[in-house]
Amino acid sequence: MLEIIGMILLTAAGAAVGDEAARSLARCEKELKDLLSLLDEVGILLSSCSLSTEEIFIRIGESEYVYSHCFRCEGDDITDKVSACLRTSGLAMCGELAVYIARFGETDLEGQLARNGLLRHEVSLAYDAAAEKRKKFSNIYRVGGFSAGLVAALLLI
Amino acid sequence: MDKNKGLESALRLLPQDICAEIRALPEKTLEQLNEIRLRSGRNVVLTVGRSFLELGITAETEDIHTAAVRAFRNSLHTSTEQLCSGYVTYDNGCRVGFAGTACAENGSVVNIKHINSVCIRIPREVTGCGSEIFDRYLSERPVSLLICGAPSSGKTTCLRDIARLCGRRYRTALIDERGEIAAVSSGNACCDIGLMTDVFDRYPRKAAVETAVRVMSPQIIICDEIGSEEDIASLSYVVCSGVKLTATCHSGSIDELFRKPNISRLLENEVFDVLVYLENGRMVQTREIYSRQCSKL
Repeated sequence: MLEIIGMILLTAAGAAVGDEAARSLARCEKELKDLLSLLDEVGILLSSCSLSTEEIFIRIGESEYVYSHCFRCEGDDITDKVSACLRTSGLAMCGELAVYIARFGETDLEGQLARNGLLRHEVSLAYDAAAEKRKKFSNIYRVGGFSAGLVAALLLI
Repeated sequence: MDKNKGLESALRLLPQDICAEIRALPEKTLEQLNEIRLRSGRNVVLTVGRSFLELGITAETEDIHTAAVRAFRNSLHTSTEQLCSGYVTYDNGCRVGFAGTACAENGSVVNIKHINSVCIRIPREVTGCGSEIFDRYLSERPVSLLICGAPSSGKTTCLRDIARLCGRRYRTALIDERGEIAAVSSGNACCDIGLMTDVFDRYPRKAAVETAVRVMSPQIIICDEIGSEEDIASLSYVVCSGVKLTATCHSGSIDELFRKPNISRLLENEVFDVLVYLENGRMVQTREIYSRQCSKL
């Protein structure tokens, strides 16, 4: 009886690990998709609304992106604060976004839109790669995890 | 406005090492600090009272960039026009001037790159510095007054105090085109500009003057640094509307006013009743040119 329970637990653990790895791929894809939307919104706010950096950050902070919580900062040196928050967030491409935000508002509108476009392009490539990876490896990770758990259970029990 | 607020605002613009160097100065020096100048590759220079103080710290290109970006609140993308005009007004009336490499088109500056000099002017509210002028010319009735002087002779500081005194007695409209005189922040004036003073903050002068005359029924309009072509029509309109005008302009002497192309036209149009020349914040020369008075029938 105990052996059967042990086998089930070990197999379930393996399956959970595999499932978590698959979810991690999906999470990365979602974060990058959110980041694309965020950069699109920043581009629109820059070009159509002529908003200041603080106003743009307030709008992004009020949105529902996974990165939005990092933009809810106030006071002087707002770009440094948001950048620091992004760097420690652990979200997809947070390092690149932090570098972009650290120098936000330091060029004229054309330069700012060009920087935005450049980052958006990098994120787009990363998103395509993440989507491809998720499609390819999700099932492999799940099956692999389950199999590893089962093998471990058989070996140990 | 507390002088310290102006100084604190100015120090917030500076990189940490330069800020620390300035904070380490004696209290008496800081009280008289008027300007902080950063020039790329050269030592930081302060204007303390009437003299200069060179600090032993060099302003690098990155330091100037930091000060400039902070002055524009990290929003250069919305501030190209202000950048091209060469200055921006920061918190508590701090005026930050820039010099750099211009991108010009058809004789106009369309952008500035590589800012290499920054001048941070710390506003001073000196209560009572305009009393002499006010008591002599404005205490009984509003008159049109032109205050002239060399740069940094105290014209704006004096004008601020005159606005305060006028605002206690007359309906006053203050045209604060650069945001330096009243230092309005979130709709509140940081300086004492008088009970009955309406502030037109950052309005273009022409629009402000016309709006003020039409909707605020002022007895006196106050504006700083006149002298452009556009001023001739708008300020003549003010006086023809029965409103008195107190303004400042750059000039080396009262006689020089009559040689300045646009100011001389204003003087010919009898816009001003009194001319005052300031030196080191004090009235040193005046000329009264009151308009011909109409006699009662």
